[in-house]
Amino acid sequence: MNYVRRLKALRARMAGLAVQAAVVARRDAIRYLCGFAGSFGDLVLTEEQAWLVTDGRYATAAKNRTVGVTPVIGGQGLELVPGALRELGAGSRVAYDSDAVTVARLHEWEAALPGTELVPAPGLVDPIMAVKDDDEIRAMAEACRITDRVWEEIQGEIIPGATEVRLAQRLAELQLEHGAEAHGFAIVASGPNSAYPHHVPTSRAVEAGDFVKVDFGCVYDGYNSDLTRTVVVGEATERQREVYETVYRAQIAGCAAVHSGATGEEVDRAARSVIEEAGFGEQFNHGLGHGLGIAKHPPHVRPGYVLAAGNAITIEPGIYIEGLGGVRIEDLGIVTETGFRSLSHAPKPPKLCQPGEWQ
Amino acid sequence: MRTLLRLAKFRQRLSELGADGAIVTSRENVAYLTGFSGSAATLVIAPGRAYLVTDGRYEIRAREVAKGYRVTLGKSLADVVNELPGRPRLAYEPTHLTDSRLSELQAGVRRAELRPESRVLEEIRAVKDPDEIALIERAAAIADEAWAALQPSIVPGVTEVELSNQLEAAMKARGASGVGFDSIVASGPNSAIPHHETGDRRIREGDFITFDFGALYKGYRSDMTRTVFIGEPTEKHREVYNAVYRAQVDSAAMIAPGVSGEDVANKAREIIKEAGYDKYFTHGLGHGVGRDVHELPGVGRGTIFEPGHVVTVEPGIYLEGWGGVRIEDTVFVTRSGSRPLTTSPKPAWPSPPGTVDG
Repeated sequence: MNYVRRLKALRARMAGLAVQAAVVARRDAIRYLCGFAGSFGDLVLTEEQAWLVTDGRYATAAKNRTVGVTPVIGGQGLELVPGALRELGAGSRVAYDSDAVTVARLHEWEAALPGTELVPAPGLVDPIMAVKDDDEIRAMAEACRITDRVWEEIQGEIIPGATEVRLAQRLAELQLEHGAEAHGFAIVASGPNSAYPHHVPTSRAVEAGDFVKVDFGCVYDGYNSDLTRTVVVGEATERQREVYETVYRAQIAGCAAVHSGATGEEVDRAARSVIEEAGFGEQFNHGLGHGLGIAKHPPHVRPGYVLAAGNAITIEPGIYIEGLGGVRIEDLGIVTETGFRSLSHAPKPPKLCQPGEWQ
Repeated sequence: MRTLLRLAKFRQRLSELGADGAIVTSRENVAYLTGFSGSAATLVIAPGRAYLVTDGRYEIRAREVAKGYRVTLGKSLADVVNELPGRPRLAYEPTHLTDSRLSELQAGVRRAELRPESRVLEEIRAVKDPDEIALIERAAAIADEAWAALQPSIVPGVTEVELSNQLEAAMKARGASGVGFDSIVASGPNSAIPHHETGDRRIREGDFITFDFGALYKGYRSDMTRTVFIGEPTEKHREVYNAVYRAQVDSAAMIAPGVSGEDVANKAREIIKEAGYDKYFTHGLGHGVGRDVHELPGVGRGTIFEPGHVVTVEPGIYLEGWGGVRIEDTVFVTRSGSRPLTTSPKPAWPSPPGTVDG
């Protein structure tokens, strides 16, 4: 990973904000900038220096698993940022990523640093993280490859009697077996539970006639995959087919609307209008997609964002009908000058299929 | 409904603080008050009404579980606050609310007065109700069962990461929805690092191996530590281990309503001091556990135990380069005393994996 370039880009952003130093507190941004993956620490950056302040639990990781930063180790749970800023002679204006700094922490910094102007910079690192470089795209493609493969392998286990929790656990195990460094979340939602967009797996056993909606991913080299597919167990009803095919067409339309310069609103509209025309507008009650990398971050596929080449985004429309169930189909891909290059390659049948039926 | 009792308690506390209501942004506090545990929800509590503000992904679930709350979708927090009558004084949570969100709120709110109040719900959460105790007890039982199942795998040659993966899978197989926190498996010299990052080191003869882990069950966590020994312990291994054992057992036995946390912590420290290792017990004796793995009350100065407290008791001795020992249970303060919720066997002397009698 090209950490040198990233720190340089952040320093350019500091110059734009007319600050002499910046404090980065968000975990994913810190990992992005220097490789550090610990759960406690902040990055304090000046024009010349980059300090990673953390505690003794992460001393070894801060030394051996980072690039371009000087580890500074303090006591566990202590507030280290004001001291670091003072020692670095950070100057009179300091930017901080205000969406990761609590009000209580800010008050503590203000009290400890009279005479320093603390400049809130929401999304400080977001514009840099938004455009993925080749190393990042390779890591995400590998994470997607693992997830795709596990989706195919799990097909034989999506049978009546299998519980949601058991399937979620199998997804986690299989992804680890195939080289993921961690399994991410896993939503396995069967039957009526599939009507909950963000269902938490339960001990409900899959029954004949169920939609089974599976939304899961893994982490490879720090980067996430994210995939959703929906199958039916046993015979599908006409209504289930109609819902599925509508979501499928919306997902294809959404992907087709993506290109560098497209607004989140345009892409959302392309997918949402398909669902609205089919009469399910009310039952698609979430955003079309989100940015992803080390974590979720902008740009999202929502009004207010403009897509650019190199953004990694999901396209994931859904229809959720209380009592009946729901369908979502999701791919993760890269925005290019002309379109959407999907990193997800799991089979995506245009018609509602039983597990493994398309193979 | 327990959640409504919790809300009533919160409202009473707010009024003691001179606030009319509150904005609750901490995910765990939202779940505590509503039963709703989605990733995007904020509460606006006002006299006579309470709103759960979330987005469409959680609509059905929020309406089902958050009884007594008006589920509000697609509105900004400021919009909801602006609907409240009068000029309500609303407490927010400064240790959870980010600076960005506060700025947005302040820009959008017209009449309400916003003021920081730390730890209000955290203090209420320190005393668990019976529903919560039942869930922590289940999380503790899952960890105990997984620990028993892991014993045959703790053999020379296996790595720390392999053991931690197996332990976590065993907890999930027994109904855990996740882990209480990242499991620590620390072997040999690594056992001298209290918060060792589990790595690729292989278990060998002569190792202490410390396992610090817990299960997550329906939003509640357990926390336990056991240290096993592979091979033939030396006198020093026996001395260090047994000092930690006695410190753990004797201090935990003191816990009861009215007892001070400081006295309990002093008891553990005295025993370790008598053994000559005071300098090497480098952390506090324990902490509250519940929805968060570290919550109130701490086992130390300022705490007087009450029925419903759930705390860890976890003394340790850490000798750099040589190894360390920690033993920990999750302990529930009852009306008349206390009892451990984690009940795995706890030998008095350094013992190989699978030893069941004390």
